[in-house]
Amino acid sequence: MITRRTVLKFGLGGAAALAVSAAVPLPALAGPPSGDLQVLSARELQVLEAIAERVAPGGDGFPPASELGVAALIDQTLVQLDPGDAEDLRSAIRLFDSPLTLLLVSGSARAFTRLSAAEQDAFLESWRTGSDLQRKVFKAVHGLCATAYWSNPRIYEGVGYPGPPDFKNFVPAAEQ
Amino acid sequence: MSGFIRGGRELIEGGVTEETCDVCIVGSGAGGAVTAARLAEAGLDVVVLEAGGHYTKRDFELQEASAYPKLYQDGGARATSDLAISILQGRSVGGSTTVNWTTCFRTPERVLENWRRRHGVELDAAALAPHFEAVEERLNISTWDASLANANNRKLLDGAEALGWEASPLRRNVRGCANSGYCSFGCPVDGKQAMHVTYLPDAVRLGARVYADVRADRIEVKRGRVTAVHASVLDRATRRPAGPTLTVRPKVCALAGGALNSPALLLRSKLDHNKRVGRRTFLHPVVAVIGVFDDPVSGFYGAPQSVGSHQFIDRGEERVGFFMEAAPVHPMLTAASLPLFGDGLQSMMRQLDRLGVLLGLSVDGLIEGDEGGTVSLRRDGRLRVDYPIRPELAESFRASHEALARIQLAAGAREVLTGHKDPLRIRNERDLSLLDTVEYGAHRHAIFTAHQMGGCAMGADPKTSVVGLDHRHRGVDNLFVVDGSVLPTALGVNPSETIYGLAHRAATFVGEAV
Repeated sequence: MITRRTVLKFGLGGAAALAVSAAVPLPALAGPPSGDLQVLSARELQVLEAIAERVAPGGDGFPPASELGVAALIDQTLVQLDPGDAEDLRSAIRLFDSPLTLLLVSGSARAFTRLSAAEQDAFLESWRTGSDLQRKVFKAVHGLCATAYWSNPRIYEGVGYPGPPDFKNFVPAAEQ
Repeated sequence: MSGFIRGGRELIEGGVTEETCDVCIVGSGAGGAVTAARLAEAGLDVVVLEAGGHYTKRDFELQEASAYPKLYQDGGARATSDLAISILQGRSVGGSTTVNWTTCFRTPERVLENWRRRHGVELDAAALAPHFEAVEERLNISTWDASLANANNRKLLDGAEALGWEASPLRRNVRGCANSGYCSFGCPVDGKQAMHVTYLPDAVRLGARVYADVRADRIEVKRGRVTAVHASVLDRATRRPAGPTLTVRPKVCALAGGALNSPALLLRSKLDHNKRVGRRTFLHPVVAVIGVFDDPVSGFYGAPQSVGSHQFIDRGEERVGFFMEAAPVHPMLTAASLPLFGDGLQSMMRQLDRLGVLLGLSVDGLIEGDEGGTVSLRRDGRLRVDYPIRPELAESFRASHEALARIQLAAGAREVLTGHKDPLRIRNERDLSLLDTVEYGAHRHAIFTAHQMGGCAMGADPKTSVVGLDHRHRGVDNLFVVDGSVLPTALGVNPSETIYGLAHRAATFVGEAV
């Protein structure tokens, strides 16, 4: 729920595979934020965009995540988190694009961004229902994407939510 | 002399870096605000530090996208270390009272009896009554008219009645409530009698100085006494230290950062001489079920929580009891609670207007051996909350699912969905047996908490308690804890009124120590 803080305790909780991932950060993915980004690197943004597009592909009257700029919105949210929490979330995002770690965690080295849409859905589905570690990572990135997408007023009409009433001329009733 | 509420920017522009006072209160929520008002009333010089920002009804945008980052701990992203339990906890001037759903109960006698028997906390209903009466009057706590209940709460009332179960309208701290449904975004009409419109202004009128955007980092203790509270001024937009600091030198310090934050501050200050700080942290862990109805429920409108059922609060000495209440059904909170994505999530969300959401809140800490969770610090000083789910709690989750599903069905739900990774679809009483085919616990289904309690437990035994019955820290003479972290167990009712009442009582002890 909400832009979720992930606490990927690399090396703790018996997650030996992830201890390896912490030891092998991909140089291409790490690094400071670039362009207008506050927290994420350009590569992390791309990975997050790919995940968000499958969490909220749109259609049937709903805009896709990309149209709402969901990944960039998440970047702006991360700046408000404790830097340590934001770093944990960046690690979770990088995990989706780190072949060696993916091989250890899921048995396949293919990075998320290199998969077809159907394969990406299958990837997310397997992590959604997979090991505790996979579910934890899924929950973290899903929470980020779902909160950024489903809080956008542009989805209100599609879900039949009229939005907040206008209280400008509200006159309170006594006591109740 | 009138005091003020100032934000971080004003503090920096004013060049204020030091303060002296009789009492420094850390936190401006249910515990801190009541304590501040009582002490100011007694003529004491009070400074309140609040890490969150100061927002009023003019600032509340009533959008989930901005409300959670502004008004909740960790921008709404707080969770247990395994991410299994999402933690909703307020963070602004007024603390969780700014965003809570207004439900008020006095501490149940059954819980007080448990405290007397197991923790030596000699408090009874009669001793607490004057304190509750005072806060009930100030906050206009009274029973909500059942005829005003929104459809979501009505389902709880009607479903329980059809099953012959207890359910009743709740007491709420409101005055001039618009029945809008936006309690969790900050009340747009000041109908909710939250701390930023009641006890804090009371304290300010009597001279209290409230500093928002100021985070207490460390309590300095010399020769067994607090000599200073060291705080950082935060940037309102990023919530990160802006550079300037504030040092408060009080005669007495009272912690009211809430459960989780108060124990964390004690740990950062190395004030944990008996290794009990952070222990016995309780969460009222919550599971939710979603009823899909043929008619509109519009659970996003109307007072979010106005009916409750305590039918299963007492399930014997061996089993964890639970109580049932309703939740607001706004889009983001609903979507993020569902472990679905893509078309599955979208088709569910399309029905938002027809969804009813009920909650089962398990009462932790009452049965023998239930130690709840633990607050500790990560290596970099960040808060860490661990909460193992015991088999007794998992059993309560299952029982909660069944009771909530039966209520939804009895209230006319077409189907009831659980929060499991593959949600169960329960269409009739026979389908309830499906509940035996799935597991309960961490990462098996969604779990939340909106009630954080304990971590600085009150008790009679100096070896096992963090504070005594007078709220005084066991190792530091002029340090008190006056918030929900002192609760020895969870309550089995929404905790805000207990915190108001205990703070109202504790203020006397704090004042006497000046």
